[in-house]
Amino acid sequence: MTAKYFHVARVSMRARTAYLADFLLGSVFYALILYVFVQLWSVLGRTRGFAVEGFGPRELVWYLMASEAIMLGRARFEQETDEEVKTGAIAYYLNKPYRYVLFKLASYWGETALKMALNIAIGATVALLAVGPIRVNAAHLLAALACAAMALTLNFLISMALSLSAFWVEDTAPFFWIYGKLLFVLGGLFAPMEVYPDALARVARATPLNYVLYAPARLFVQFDMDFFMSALMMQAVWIAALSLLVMALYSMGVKRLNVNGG
Amino acid sequence: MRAIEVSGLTKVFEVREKSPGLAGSVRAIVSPSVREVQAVNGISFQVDEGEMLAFIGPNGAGKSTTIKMLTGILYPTQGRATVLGVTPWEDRQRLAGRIGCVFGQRSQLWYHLPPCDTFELLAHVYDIPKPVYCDRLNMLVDRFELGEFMRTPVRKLSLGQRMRCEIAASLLHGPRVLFLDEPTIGLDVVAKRAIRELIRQMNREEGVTVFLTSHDVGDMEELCRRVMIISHGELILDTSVSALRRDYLRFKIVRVRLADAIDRFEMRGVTVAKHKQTNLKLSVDTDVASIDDVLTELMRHARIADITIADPPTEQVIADIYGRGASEALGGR
Repeated sequence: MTAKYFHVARVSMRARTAYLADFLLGSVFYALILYVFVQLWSVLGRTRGFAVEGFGPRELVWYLMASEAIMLGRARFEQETDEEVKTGAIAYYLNKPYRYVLFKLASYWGETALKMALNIAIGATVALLAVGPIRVNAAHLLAALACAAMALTLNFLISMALSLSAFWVEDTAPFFWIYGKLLFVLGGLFAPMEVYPDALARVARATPLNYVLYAPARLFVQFDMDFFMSALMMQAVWIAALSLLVMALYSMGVKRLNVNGG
Repeated sequence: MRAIEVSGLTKVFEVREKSPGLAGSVRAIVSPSVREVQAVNGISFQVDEGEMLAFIGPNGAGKSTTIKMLTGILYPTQGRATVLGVTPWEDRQRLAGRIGCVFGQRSQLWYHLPPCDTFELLAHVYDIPKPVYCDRLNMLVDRFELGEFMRTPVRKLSLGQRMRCEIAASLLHGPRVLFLDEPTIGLDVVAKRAIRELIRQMNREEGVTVFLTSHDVGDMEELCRRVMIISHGELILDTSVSALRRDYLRFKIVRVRLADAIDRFEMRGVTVAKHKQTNLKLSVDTDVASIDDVLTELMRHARIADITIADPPTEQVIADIYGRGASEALGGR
């Protein structure tokens, strides 16, 4: 059963590398962002006593490397799904022996895994050259990667829920614009929650966005077993809740498709 | 044995309507106005196993809605249908392994990858055992002559090559019923002929039941023995292709450009639809005058510089059938 989805992921990965030059060029943007922030944190670092709960300039650069790797590594399937819903093309997936949402998840993971691997390689090189290494052991790295995998699945479910809203609204692009901006702020893209004012950090922690970027990036830079366990648990809770939401939206949408036609 | 049984199949869609302007948009949110559209209206028919059936009709007639219900994509509003003994919309996943679908305007091939990648994926999706897949793929590659472009990205294939791949992909898992929705749309004459020959071969050699929708009368004439015509959601004709040809397709449209202008052209069984100096458009009743006779008569008047002979468009055939009365036509079978 799962084998077919594994092969969907594999084919998606192959499709992504069909234009290797474009694919590699996409990562240049990521390297550029890192370079800009390395300069910014270096200036801040020269300010006497700059350190927030263990985050000095070096940690902040490595944090950004991890959060941006996720932000830019997630496959962007929403426009395609939005089109499939709006044009009724989603109906053509129904008579194939697979589940639409799982098919999309597999396809998303095929592309995301590849982009993440490349982003991590490029990001680590830039960070290493700019600020030198940070201390991280293999077990902590694996834990951070597990948390990143959960984070990317969470991102998929949020994006899928927003895409499926195309069954009811004309254009989902504004939702994704808002989601992107919220990820910047509440997700903690540029800096960890420790840098945020308490009130904003509290609001951010109450949202799933915090577990898309901040949780895995912080674990990578500053591993803490308690935080790891609580982050993983919260991610599981959000994944379960959003899975139910996606399933409900999908079945309501397909029902609507049956009423309104393809 | 019956491959498809349909009884009183009906589909009503709800279409939301909005008055123009901002006020209309607000009203549409507060109290939406919904109009019902009867896409398919109580159609009934059976298709035997191994039969090749053409299901034709103009745009918006209900062809695609019917095919979508028969493949489990849409639920009907009323009525019953079974495909290979399975109710499609109740058990579409089980049916999926036993039917193949080609939607001419949609592709199941991965656009940026060569066809071989999609075939391999489909083998996993349909749980085809490796040795079975290899044999089946070799047979299809050989028969559909896909070898030379199996490793070329789909985006670089011609429409004809892509359609051959689409049909091969839909046959990979050995379906018993093949639903083809406009399989020759946009293809040139050579590619159409190749596709038709392949469909005919698969039907003859594997006994695959073919349910074909098309705008192209040529698809119906060359492939099928039986034709059903649907218009405004109703089945207005269910007859043999030979009967349809005899009764409705006996007219041919002849467009001719003569080397020298003529004043007039008259012949029994021929109606001059348009005449402008050297250009003539003729409607020929082949029961009265053969095309040969018409050409001979034309050449007596002037030399022929160019000529095309075509069937009347489906819409015209359907209009003609309507003209004769749907009730009379229904008794045609």
